[in-house]
Amino acid sequence: MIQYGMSESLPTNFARFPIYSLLFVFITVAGGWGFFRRKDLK
Amino acid sequence: MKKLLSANFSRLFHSKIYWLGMIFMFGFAAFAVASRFRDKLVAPDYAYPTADGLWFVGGMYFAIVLAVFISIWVGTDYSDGTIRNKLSVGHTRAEIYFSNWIVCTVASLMMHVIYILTVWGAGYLLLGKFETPAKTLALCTLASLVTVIAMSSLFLLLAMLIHNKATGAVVSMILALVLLFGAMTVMQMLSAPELVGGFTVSVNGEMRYIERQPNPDYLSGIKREIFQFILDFQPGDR
Repeated sequence: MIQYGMSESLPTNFARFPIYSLLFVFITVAGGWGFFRRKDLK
Repeated sequence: MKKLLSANFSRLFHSKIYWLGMIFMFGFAAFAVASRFRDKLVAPDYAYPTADGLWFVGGMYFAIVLAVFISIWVGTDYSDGTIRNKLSVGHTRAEIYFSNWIVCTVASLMMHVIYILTVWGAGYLLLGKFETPAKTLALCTLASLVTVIAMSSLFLLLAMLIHNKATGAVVSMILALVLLFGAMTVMQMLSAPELVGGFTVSVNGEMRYIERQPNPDYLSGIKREIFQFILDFQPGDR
């Protein structure tokens, strides 16, 4: 029985998930560090 | 960097908000499995027999837990003034940012793992073997771990840039909700059928056939590709 939230096969765009997630991590970490480097901490 | 990491991990394991997050994720997983077990006892013919679908249900709530945990944990650095102390003793901003990122990532992964382990353990004991193939579960779990790192990186970015702890927590929570509900809306838009009609309706007692016609809400061409990219790229979709 296929249940809500799970299916017997992986979605067709499944392979893109980890790649996009890693790209997202790279952008947020690089962006965050870039802004934090210039941030006024007084 | 080593000293910063060791100090941050020590602060993490003494942090109430971190343990609250762990308890919430454990409790939520136990509650979800117990609810399904109860359903199975009450309505054995209709209820889902195993805990497969519960494997990632916690992810939706987890985004909010992460938003609260990271903004409060990192915000304490600002409110207690420790971030300036770290700089004054010679740590670079890069070391401060990346040590916080490592600790928040590890803490987020631990919260996610405790949820999955609880669903797996309690689900196996109460509801029996999972129906989804182990390979599929393992691949989905690996993908979810990368998603958790993405979520935690995003909330860390906000927490490191917003001085005020309360403001940071509110902004992060709103963003978590926007990501989740935004993903649901885009998913709904993408799943609109290409053609509508082809059925009979009753209008004032008279049967009328509605011809099949193109759906004006159907996304096509470049528009569809853009929405599909937004859905795939942002971690709220997972």
